[in-house]
Amino acid sequence: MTSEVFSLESQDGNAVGQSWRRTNSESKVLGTFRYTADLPVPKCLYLGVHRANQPHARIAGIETESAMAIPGVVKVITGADLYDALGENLFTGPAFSDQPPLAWQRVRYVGEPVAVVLAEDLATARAAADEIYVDYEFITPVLDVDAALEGTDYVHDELRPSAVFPDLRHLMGEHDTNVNYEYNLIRGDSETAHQKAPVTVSGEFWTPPTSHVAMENFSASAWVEEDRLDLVSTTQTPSYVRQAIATMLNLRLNQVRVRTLGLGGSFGSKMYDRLEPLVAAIAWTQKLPVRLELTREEAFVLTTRHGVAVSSRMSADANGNIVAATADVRYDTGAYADIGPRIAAKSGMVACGPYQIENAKIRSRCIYTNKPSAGPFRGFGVPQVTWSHESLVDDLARELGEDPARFRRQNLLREGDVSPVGTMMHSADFIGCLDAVTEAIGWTDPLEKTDGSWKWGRGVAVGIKAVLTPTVSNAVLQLNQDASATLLISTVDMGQGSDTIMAQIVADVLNLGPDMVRVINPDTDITPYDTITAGSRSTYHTGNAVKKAAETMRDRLIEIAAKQMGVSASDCKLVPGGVISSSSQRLISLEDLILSQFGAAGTTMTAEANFTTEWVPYDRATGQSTKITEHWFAGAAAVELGVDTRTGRIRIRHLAVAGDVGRAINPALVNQQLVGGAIMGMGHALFDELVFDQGQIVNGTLLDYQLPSIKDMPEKLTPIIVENPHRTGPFGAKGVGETGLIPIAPAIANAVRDATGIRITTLPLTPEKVLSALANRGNK
Amino acid sequence: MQISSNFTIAAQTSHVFDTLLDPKVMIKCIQGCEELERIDETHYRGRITNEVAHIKFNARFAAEITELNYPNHIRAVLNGEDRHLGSSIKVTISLNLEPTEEGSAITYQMEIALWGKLGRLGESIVRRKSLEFERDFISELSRACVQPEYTPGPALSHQEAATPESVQIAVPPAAPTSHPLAAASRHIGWFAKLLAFFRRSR
Amino acid sequence: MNPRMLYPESLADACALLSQDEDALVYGGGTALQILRKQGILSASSFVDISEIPGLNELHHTGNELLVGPMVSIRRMETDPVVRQSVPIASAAYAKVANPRVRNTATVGGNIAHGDYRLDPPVALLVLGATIKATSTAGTRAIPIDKFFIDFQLTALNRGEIVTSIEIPISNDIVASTFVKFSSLSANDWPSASAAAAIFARDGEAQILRLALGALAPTPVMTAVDITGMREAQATEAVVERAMLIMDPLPDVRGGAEYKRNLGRIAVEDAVRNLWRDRQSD
Repeated sequence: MTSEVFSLESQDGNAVGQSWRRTNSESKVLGTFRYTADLPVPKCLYLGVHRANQPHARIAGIETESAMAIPGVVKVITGADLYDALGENLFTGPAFSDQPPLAWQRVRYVGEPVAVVLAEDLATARAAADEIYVDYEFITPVLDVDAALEGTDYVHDELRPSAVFPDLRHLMGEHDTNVNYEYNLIRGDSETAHQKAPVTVSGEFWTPPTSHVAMENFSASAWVEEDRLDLVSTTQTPSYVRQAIATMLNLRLNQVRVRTLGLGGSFGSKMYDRLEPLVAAIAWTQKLPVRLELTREEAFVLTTRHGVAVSSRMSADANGNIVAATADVRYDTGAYADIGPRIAAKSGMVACGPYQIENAKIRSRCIYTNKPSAGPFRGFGVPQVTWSHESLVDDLARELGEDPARFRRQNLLREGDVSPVGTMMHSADFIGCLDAVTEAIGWTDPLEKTDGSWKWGRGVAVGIKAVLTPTVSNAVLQLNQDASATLLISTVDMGQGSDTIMAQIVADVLNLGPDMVRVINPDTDITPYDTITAGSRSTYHTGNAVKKAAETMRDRLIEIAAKQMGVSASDCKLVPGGVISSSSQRLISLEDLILSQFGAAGTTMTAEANFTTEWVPYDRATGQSTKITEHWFAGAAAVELGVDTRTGRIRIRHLAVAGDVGRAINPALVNQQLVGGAIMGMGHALFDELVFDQGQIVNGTLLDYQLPSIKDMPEKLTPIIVENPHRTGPFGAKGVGETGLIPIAPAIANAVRDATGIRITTLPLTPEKVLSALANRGNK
Repeated sequence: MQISSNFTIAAQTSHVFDTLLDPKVMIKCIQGCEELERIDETHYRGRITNEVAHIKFNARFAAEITELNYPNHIRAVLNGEDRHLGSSIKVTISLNLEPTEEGSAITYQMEIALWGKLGRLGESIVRRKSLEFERDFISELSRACVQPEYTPGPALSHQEAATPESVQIAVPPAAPTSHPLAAASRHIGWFAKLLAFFRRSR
Repeated sequence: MNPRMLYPESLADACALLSQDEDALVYGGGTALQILRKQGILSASSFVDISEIPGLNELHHTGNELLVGPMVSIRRMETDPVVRQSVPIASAAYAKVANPRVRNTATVGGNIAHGDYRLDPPVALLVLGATIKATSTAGTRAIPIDKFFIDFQLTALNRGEIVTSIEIPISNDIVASTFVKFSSLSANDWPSASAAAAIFARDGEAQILRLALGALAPTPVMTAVDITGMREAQATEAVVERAMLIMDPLPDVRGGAEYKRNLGRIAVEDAVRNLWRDRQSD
């Protein structure tokens, strides 16, 4: 693999726009970095989890005697024990309060926690968990979205939306359904437009569930200190967890402390309610310190990406304009809703793609099945609908005899256009991204299409995603007397490099050098509220809060310096080394400035800021909103690949990926995010898939689960940064965590179609699927 | 996981049907079956043990006949659980018998669900194990149906011809309707035939 | 519960430990057993680790045989110049096992005793006609490799037996040899088809092509075809025809039986092509 050379050296000048070395990169490489599980905690009892071996069943009884008889076992706790202690508060979730930490009365997926053993060591806890026996009464399971919609078996007797969301309130108590949320987008008259259009293409698309497989596994510890609960957990949402646990245990927010250190990857897996409700409920109700560490196999059933079925159609007129698009999107959310309803709405809404379409109709549903609960996954449900619209657009171009890149170019949304959801476009340069990736792979260069058994082709795709809105970020900046700074934010650095770029933002505003800004690990006792570290939102939201806090600090420093020098504030300027008065040319260093202000060494100054975004809630009937999102993400990918018609294997010669990031705070980290997303997307395109049989994951171990290794890399991978500054982004910046992944799978499938003429609508594009499609075409 | 296949037994359909419902014969047809008893007309229970790839399982099961149309159709559901391995199995089997010139043609579909630790072992092991079960089942069932003095042999998973070395349970001779001698004469090469059938069906 | 680790210091002690406990397992590099143990499905009371027993990690070249101790690492089989020169096809197969971390830890004896139908080395050992020596309290016996793999995950080893040596003949009759391996999903996954093949020339005239297949049947399987006087196309046809007869692939997440059969056919075609190319260049 070759790639752009990343400059990791800091250069003179402002910090923003420089490729500062990633914080903690040395210690991570040396293996000395301290992850969450390494944080010292009090001596804990270990939890061993007994899990359901039925996809859907009533719990008739739980036998715990033989587990209790094992030396070292302290206690066995069941869902009924927790329900007795906590009542309905036991049920948590970010959209629906439907998930108990231990199954209560009923199990809904294979692998669901049913009981836990508390033991003095981990091995005993796990061994004793195996000795628990549960008597089940079988209930017919709901195994896929179509069965969930058509059948009369229900995963939940009634819907339990979370009380805190007004837009979900109408669903309370609804029964005889597996659909927990439905979003509808209606614009124009798509049915008539489809009928009138000369060219229409359609397809049945499927993206399977996948597993996040972050390198760092899950762990959580909880214990009670006096009247409060301490929780150390691998979470990318510490502020959310504090709120959820406080609600569950009926505690004040200041009675719950949630801490996390840097994470070894997450990709959405360590979000919302994971291990925390279980360890918190047990620690609090039993007043015992407890620790839970998952095995790799347990992590596979903790959360997954949504499997998504899309039935869709797209039509164009004779001039090559897309005139109508329709999509029926079914998100398989598994046994518990998790954030599925939000995904169904906020990702379903872009199911027509980033195109100027006057007539659009989308129905997007979030559906319960008896499988592990699906949750957020890098892309938040958007890659699954992109798979549909980017395959259809490609087919439409080919039906019209048009070049797929040029056809997209003609139809893509431009600055100032109104998208099918009713919101205006800004700082989302699809055309710039499209042009960059097609140019990178030599889109118009001649291509030898056949070479022995190999067929070669090129494909392109774009991707659109809205940032989660409304959300809240806060920053507290402490400037120390020695001119070093300490930044308090609840954004979690899980490898994306947020600690690095937040430090760069502070350093840029305050003219500080590298290593002068330390970012504190999230600790809800210390660091202020932040909605979530997810959805590529931190650079923009936390970045804005951090920038505002730094600017407040800068203004105060200037004010103090002006007073000390006896000049007006407007005469003063913060420069490297201190504050300078332009009239007197006198420079006061920050060290001296703070020392004289407080008369003591080691003193601190504090500034804080909040950044909150707002939206216009979408119309319940039409899904339309004049401000559905704070900003858009725009990306594109182009690929040149070969298909071996003997084996069906795909070999990628060049993959180019571009994202409009507004402004790159740290170009090296942006490139790495684009590359990381592209590699993950390539895995999803080619082989990454959770395989289910009757509700059981059959490849849920690292022996069988397929992830890209160094041997699967494209021969060449080119990340391209496109910069169209956002008017309200910090220095114009936006996030990039998901942009690189979203268009990859359809770009690869479109290249396969270019090479072989076959259109595959079901991911992943395994060699077997490719060969069988080639054979089927041969038979026709 | 769906498995379907068909095979022929050189015996009358009604006899094959009766044999299928006889726990004393079935205990030998089901590889690793150590206990099997009929509780009532439609309910059975038992225990099965086996080993594959250093993994030993020991599962209690209950079976219920959910459809019965004598002597042509049986549908049964089996639920089993290995407590130690935290795994459960559900097998739904639908079996049809048709009289043919050679005896009885049997077609069946099985839907196997394996949940828990064993379920994630991978399909190949389960399929391979099912194949062994199937092979032994057909072999023993044939012997039970076509031999005049059937004595169930030990279920041998790795040998093509089962030679009964230790006789554990004596089963009465087949019912008079089975024309045992005529059936036995057509029995030659049955194993090769059923293997061929089996391969064809995959 | 976790199996107890036992560290005998002599072969006799190891055999005695195994004979006393039928649920004890021989522990070599541990790369397979540890995975099964962590899955919580292994029924073993103890692991008899044979790494402390002197002599088991030695490799000897006797002139017409390579004697490989069971604790020789897979990595050594890949890199040792003696192995590479004397039995290149075996070295090539060992070089394709898993990844370098596994190859450094996994052992020759453990690899073959594992009995997995997808392993790389057994196909090379089949073509070369290796012999497995197995020792127990009852003594030592020799098992020809073609009698070693009995069925799915089942070898000819009895309970209580330890692989004590693999004897690989060094043949001057081999004029060309090759090892081909295909995975169907990620590049580093288990193979869905592998093939080892060699042409043996006797008296400079008669030529026998021996071919072994991995991952294409419940055990590694082998066949031999007399290709005396055949041209490449003719030989390919003959070998493929024979190979198809011994394939009986297991469908799984990596592909259905038909797909694997196709991949197997390609592996065989590629193997024959490689042999012809090698033979021409001599």
